[in-house]
Amino acid sequence: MATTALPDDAELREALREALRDVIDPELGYNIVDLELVYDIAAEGGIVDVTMTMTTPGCTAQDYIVAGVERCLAEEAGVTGVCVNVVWSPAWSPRRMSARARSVFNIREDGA
Amino acid sequence: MIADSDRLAHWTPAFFACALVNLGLGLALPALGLAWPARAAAASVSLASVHLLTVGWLTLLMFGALFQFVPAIAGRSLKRQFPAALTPIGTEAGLGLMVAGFAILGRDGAVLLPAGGTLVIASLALGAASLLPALAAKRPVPLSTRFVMAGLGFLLLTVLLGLTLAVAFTVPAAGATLGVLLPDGIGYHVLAGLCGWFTLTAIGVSYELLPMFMLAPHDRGALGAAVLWLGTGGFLTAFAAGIARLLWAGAWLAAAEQAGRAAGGLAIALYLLDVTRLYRARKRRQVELHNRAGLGAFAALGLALALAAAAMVTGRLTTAVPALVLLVLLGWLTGLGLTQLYKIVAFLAWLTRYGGQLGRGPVPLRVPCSRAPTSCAWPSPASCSQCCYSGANTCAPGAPPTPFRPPADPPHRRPPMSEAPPLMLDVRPELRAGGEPFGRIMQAVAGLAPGQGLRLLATFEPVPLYAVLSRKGLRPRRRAPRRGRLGNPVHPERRSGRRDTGVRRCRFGRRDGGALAHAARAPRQPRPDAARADGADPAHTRNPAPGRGARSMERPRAAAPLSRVGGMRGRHPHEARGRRRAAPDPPKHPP
Repeated sequence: MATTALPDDAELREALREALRDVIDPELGYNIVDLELVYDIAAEGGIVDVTMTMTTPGCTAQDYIVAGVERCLAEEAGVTGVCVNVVWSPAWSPRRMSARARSVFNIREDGA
Repeated sequence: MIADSDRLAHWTPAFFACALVNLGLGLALPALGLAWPARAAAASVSLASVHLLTVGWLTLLMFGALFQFVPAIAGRSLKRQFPAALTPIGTEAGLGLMVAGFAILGRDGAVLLPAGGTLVIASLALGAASLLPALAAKRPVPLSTRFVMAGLGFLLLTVLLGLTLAVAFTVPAAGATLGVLLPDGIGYHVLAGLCGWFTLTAIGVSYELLPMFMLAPHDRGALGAAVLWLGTGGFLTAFAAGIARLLWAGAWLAAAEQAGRAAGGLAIALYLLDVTRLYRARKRRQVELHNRAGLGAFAALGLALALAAAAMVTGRLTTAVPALVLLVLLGWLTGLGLTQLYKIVAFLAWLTRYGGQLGRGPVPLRVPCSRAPTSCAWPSPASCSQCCYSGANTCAPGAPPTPFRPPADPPHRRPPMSEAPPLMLDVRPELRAGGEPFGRIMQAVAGLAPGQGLRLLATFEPVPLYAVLSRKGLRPRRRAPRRGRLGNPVHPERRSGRRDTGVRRCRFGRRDGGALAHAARAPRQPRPDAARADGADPAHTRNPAPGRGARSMERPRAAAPLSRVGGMRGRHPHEARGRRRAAPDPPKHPP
């Protein structure tokens, strides 16, 4: 029935998340997935919905990052459309970074 | 859709270039011994040098930074870019006239000075007017924007007083009435300029940049608000009371002026306290090079504050003024400006050069020159980026460079493809001739070695093939090869494949800060059914008309809720402008 050879949704989401590691945030110099900027990836019928945020509200690189996400996911086989939704809530903070990113940036673990 | 037309101010590099040239010229005069602030004889050359530094270097630097950051902070682009183009041109021309006017001060023809000043004012007013809508757009107004607004208000006061003083100096007829402003008016011109316009704007921009790059909290709380109100109120009071005291006598005016200065000094002290708090509260433990150097600027500001306080208390402010001007102008403002410029220029250059490649493949991770001093004495792009491409992700910010070694297998890095080169199969001639290369493709796949990939060159993306090939153990990818669970990669030729995929780009930004749980999404596009509207057999449309690619296969979609779709400005020719039609559901293909 499926016209494309893609595996089920969870695998697809994982694959898309992997693919997004090519997109980096230029201000910090790390990929957006490990920075935990990507909140949600939903894929249905070839249309991918990405919900993400930026490190700062006034991010100069915002359009570049969004365009990078669109380009990156559009390259994946079977993806016919990419929708990127930038939200500001829940707000991003350095505590949200993945453990690996935290170690690279020497993020302080104390308090706020 | 593409960023650089909206978020990147095109003329900011022009501002910075002019500003740096003026810095050189402004410093050359004292360096050559021509400008001595303390010597009355060299007053006119000193004045020229100071204005080269203040109007030429610092003002253009601030405007360039504002043109870049105000739209980004406000979340909207400027309506027109041409004021940003005219401002540096007009300012440079006016500044040239001013410097000429200073040079011949006291002689005929010195009316060049107010003429140049008027031109400068007009250019800066044009620039400020184009920034104001963006400044006032965001609600609630952020703290850094409030500082910028206060700074621009002081700029207006400074230039108006300066023009008045210039007219008083050079036009004899006006000298009679306006002469009362001289010579003390110069002091208030300096106060409004250095403390009001430059310092408040610098504080505002620093409140934006420092938290951004050091990962410190943006919200400065009550302390930040205190700096704003004390600073603005204090300096304004001192300025107004001082000018009023020149025009009318009054002991209470002198007291008001002292109180204003004290409040302003307190604001500076609170700002230094807040900056210390910001540095301590940063999440990023390693302070980048430029922020470490910026500490010198803050030290100069503290020193100037201490010197001013001591001079005021001992009543020797006038003798201390040249030293204070040097400390504030060169130590605090130029120090902060150059250190932040170090990062801003590199950052903007990175965005211009690599921003368009985000998502396409590896890009240098590190903005050059933001690392430890030992490694950055003569930074070269090669050494800076060798270990720092997004595929490697091995270098920590601030660490000295290590020789590049491919990491063992970091989890975020794609596993390399198999050793055997992929089999290249070009079916484009057959497709263009109207043939059916399916049999050839299947034969080639059957002949693949274990672990070998297939590189397919086609005139369109063979989406129907994916289902078939996946059953044979191949996972289709259009770019960097990937050894997934499903086996070997397939590479349709990039250029033609992408042109005809008709990927629907959809993007909408939530300016109202919508929460994640209730994010409204655009209604999903209905999946197109396989049958074409005109009933043509899809198989025959594999043979597209020359030059049209596979567009005949595509069915126009219902209007998509696109906010903005566009292409890069001429940079990537295969990304066409306008709305793309999505590929239809591929027809069932017999295995």
